[in-house]
Amino acid sequence: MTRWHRHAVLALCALGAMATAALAQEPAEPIRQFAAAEAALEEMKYRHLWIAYGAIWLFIMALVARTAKRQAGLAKDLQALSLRVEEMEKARD
Amino acid sequence: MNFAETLALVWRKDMRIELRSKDTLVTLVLFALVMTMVFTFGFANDPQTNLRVFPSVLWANVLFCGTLGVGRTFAREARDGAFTALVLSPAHRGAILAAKTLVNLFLTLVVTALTTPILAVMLRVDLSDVAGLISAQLFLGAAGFALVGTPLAVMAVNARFAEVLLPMVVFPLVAPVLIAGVTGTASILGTIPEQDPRPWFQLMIGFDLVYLVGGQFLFDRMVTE
Amino acid sequence: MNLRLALVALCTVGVVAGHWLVFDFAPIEARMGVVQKIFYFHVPSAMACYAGFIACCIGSLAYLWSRKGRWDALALAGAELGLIFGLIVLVTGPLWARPAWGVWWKWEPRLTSMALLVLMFAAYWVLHTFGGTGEGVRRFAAALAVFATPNIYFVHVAVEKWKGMHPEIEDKAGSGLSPDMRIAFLASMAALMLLFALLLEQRYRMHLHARLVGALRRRIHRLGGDV
Repeated sequence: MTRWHRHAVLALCALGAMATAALAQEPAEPIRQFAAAEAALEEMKYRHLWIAYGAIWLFIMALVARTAKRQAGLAKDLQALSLRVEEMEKARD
Repeated sequence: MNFAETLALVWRKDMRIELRSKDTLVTLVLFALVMTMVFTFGFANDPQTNLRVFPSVLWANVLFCGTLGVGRTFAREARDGAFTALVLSPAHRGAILAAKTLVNLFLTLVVTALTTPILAVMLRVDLSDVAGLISAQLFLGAAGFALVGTPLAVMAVNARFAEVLLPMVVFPLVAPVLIAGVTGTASILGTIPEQDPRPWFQLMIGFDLVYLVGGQFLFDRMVTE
Repeated sequence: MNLRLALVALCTVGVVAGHWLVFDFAPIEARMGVVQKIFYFHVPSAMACYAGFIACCIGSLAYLWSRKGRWDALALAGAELGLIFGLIVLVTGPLWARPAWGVWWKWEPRLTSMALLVLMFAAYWVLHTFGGTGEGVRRFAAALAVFATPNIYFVHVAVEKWKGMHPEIEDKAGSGLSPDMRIAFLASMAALMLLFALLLEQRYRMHLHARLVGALRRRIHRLGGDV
């Protein structure tokens, strides 16, 4: 076996190894991408969930605060008005 | 004055006014024709597609004409306190409602009877074999529409924005009739896998009965003097 | 007053504890993953929504027969809360459906009837809020609420023909769940129902007081004072 032959065989082996490696990697690549997409989807689900939860609870709290504020105003009005009605009725009698 | 006499009296009054002026009827028919034209421009295609869109177009027509007609139920009574006078009279309120419902049903049926053949011709759908079934369906659907819409039309007398609010109120309420109508007609025409229109007939009959009783029950309570 | 404060405190604790149970204690569902957590919020909201609409219907019927303003206030408060919780259901549902079914929305019996139900009571609310202040409008709105109630049944029957695919787990009061999930579910159910009751009471009181203020103003006007 000459030197040239040895080099050729080595080169072929290297090519073969690279091809095998490439072939071995080929299915691995989409799987990794798929896993990444899955993780992104999971991440997205989480984010949607948190955004939705946050928005809903903020909305409920805003509703409670608004109702309480209006309720306080109404209670004040109610007291003032009933006093006035009493006075007016007394004044009329 | 008993129920039947009041009913006959209000019906005769409304029909006489309507047949003399013909304003509601003519407006409704023209509106339905315009709707038909628009739908035909929008959808007319190959016969197979036409057959598939026909039920939706047909029932959309019933829905829009019915809403317009129902909105005019108390239009003549709205002015000059005539509605108050009608409510204050010793007449049975259920009879007034029944008469008004019949007038609305009559108008919707006349309009539908005129426009359905035109629609079928324009969309090139052959209805000659199923005319009876489709007519029965349209009758039940129009009845459901009139039974729900007429009591609600009282709103036009005393609410603001009634002309916008009434369709908003009526459309969700008649949704079952609409679903039953569109799907039932499609099953009669054979464009969907379920070939049996009977469940849809039953649904419509049940709907009509419930709102017939419910309307009579509630109308007395919902009008204000 | 003290009772109400205690209940508010209990509700706050319940909501916080419920969230802890849902997110930390209950296991992550194997098939659906994190999205299944929506279920703990979605189902109790649906219950609260129904409760609100039932309160609206009862209030409306009582108002039509007794003509007392407080029943109308109850009906309005019920409709408002039903709408709020209904919107929560309609928002959380698609969030779950997108990963689970692949679509945001399906014309499926439960979904369609829920959407139409919310639409009907939205019409009631718009009518009540913007239709004017006359008694005629109120009475009309009440009749509308009563009219809408049998419609739920018809809508459901009408869309049932398209075969349902909504999970049925809630019909068995959560018995299809694992024990830990069940605890979390019942806790968040209790917390949300308490929240619903407190909100209903708060809104009812507010509408009632608004009505009383209006009546007092009219009375002062009649007595010759300016308002």
